Amino acid sequence: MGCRLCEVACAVEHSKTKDPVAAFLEEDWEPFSHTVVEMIGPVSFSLSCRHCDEPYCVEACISGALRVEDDGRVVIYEEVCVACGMCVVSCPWGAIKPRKRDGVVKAAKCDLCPDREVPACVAACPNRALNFDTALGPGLEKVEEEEIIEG
Amino acid sequence: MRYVIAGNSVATVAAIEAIRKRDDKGEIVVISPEPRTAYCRPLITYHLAGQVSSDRLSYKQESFYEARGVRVLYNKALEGLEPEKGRVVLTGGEKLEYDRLLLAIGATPFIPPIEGVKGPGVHPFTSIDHMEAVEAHLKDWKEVVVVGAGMIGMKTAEALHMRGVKVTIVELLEKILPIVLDDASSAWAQEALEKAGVDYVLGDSVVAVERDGRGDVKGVTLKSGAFIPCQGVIVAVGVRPNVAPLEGSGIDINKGVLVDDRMETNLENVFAAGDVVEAYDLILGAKRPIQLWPLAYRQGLIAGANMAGGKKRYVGGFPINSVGFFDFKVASAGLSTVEPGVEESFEVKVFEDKERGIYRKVVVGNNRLMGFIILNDICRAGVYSGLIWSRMDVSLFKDALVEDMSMPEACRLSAHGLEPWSFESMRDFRRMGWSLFPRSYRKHFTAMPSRIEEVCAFESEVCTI
Ligand SMILES: Cc1cc2nc3c(=O)[nH]c(=O)nc-3n(C[C@H](O)[C@H](O)[C@H](O)COP(=O)(O)OP(=O)(O)OC[C@H]3O[C@@H](n4cnc5c(N)ncnc54)[C@H](O)[C@@H]3O)c2cc1C
Ligand code: SF4
Ligand code: SF4
Repeated sequence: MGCRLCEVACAVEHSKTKDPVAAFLEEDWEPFSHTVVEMIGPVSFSLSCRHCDEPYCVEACISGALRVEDDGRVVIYEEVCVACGMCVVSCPWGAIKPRKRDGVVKAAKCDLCPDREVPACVAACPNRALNFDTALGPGLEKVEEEEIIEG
Repeated sequence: MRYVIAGNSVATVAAIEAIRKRDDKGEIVVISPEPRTAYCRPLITYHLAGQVSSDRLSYKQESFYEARGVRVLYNKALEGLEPEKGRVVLTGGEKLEYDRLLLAIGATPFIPPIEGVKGPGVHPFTSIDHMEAVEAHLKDWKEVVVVGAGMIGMKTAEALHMRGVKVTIVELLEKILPIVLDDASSAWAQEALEKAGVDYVLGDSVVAVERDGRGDVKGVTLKSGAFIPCQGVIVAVGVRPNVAPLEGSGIDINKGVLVDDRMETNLENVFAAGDVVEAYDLILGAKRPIQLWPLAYRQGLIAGANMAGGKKRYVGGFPINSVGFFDFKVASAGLSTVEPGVEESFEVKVFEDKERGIYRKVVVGNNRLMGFIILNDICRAGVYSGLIWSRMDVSLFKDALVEDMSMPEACRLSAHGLEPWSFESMRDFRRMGWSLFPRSYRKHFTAMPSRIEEVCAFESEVCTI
């Protein structure tokens, strides 16, 4: 549909107050969504980190800031990140972006919303186009966020 | 089963993880000449600049090795290899038998034979030891010459500049980051250097390091005859695979240790990974050393898996890099500059908008993306790397690549040019990843490995390895 509610939901979830109105009134707040809706004509899709099994970004991280957690989530420890951008060029989905917050640049990506059971983007999607789905890989639990288009 | 791993850096860490995924009983012994756990080598310049504290330098702590039952022999180096006896010789003549051996001994900085280069005040910059040596000099160094404008040279120059040292960069070629940048993008870098007040000399080389009566450095003389006064010199003209300890062992060495797609050398049960190897370059279609962190990780992981009886193949790699200094930021991958003489084989598209600070360049060959350079706004640079991995046909959206690159652009154009869900277009989409598909399509692909390059390796007619 291209309503981009997932982007709004993501930006709000990752704001300080997690309330859309309060968030927009927060002074230094620059909305930043980890998911990006790509649109053209009738087709649109919401692109976000796929939490790969063998993540390119983790391999590329020169500071050890990106890690695969035991539950399969690929997360970034911002305090360790030196903003070199290696992960940004390495992720073949373009799912990591540099984010400037309080004057400091750090890499930022989808964290599957640690504070909620179902990621905000998935919960916000009116078409149920975004699904949250954990698939079992060989011996490893793979968490993966899936989402689809059309219409 | 005893796994012996020489070297203790990123390739080693990846290999340990991969071995332990398959074999939790075998003994793992790591040989580490440096008396510390694996650390983030690229961060030493950040540390010198004061941006990263020393506790952040380590990549893995002691607990990583303990949890995986790994024994580390600190302060021991590999000095020789006796493959017929299946053992390695360590510092002090000690011998150690192995069932599987991984050589991950990295690279050593190349020191060109310049007059007066030997002696105090001249340092390479590739390890914590080098960094500490430079740190100790900082109080007496007012001016420093950095030889080489590659990635390490530029990052070191930036760090020294931030510590209040007057830096002059001398580079033999006519460009900053000569391997990565072309003339136009190098001009952007030069501008950033000028703005920061850093001197640079391009197209010239240091022929002598001049010393005073006490042997201390007082300056360098260039080929052009110019003299630059300085108290210290950083030599950063590149690194060479560390093959010296392997000489005479019968192992195949060209520039680096030659490995096959299992990361195995010509010797039985001997594997190699990281900066020491010469492995397959996906874009060049030949073996050559590519000394970068992500490749070292990937190779270590594959070597480790195969050492423990796995069947993982290295489909090849290509340089992927992101580096920033003095407000200049560049992301690049693959073949980013085309050498003169072979221009006809490639199509180069450049989009430059000085005002908005945009510079994007892509190199297309045979309708596949071969490489790119993006300056400043590197936000979606990863998508380009994805296109290189996937070897997707980009003929329909070549211009969009540099003007306004976004995935939907790519999809729309190819969806219009080709039957939307026909088999052919599906295959192309699939190389871009099954994530683009509705659920019903997805199930066809979930059985496949999730890494794009592995998926594309199936298509042997496209990727011949
Ligand atoms: C200053 C600097 C900045 C860099 N920045 C980047 C960057 O931004 N992005 C990027 O992709 N790459 C960067 N690199 C390159 C990256 O650090 C290397 O590609 C990577 O560290 C290679 O890892 P490795 O496992 O092959 O071994 P190395 O990290 O080279 O380590 C080699 C290991 O072998 C050990 N060893 C040496 N000799 C012996 C011996 N005889 N016996 C046993 N052990 C031995 C050493 O002690 C060390 O533990 C940078 C490098 C430097 C120096
Ligand atoms: S950021 Fe990219 S490479 Fe990393 S896990 Fe997510 S999709 Fe994979
Ligand atoms: S930008 Fe941060 S997270 Fe990404 S590779 Fe660099 S240090 Fe790691």
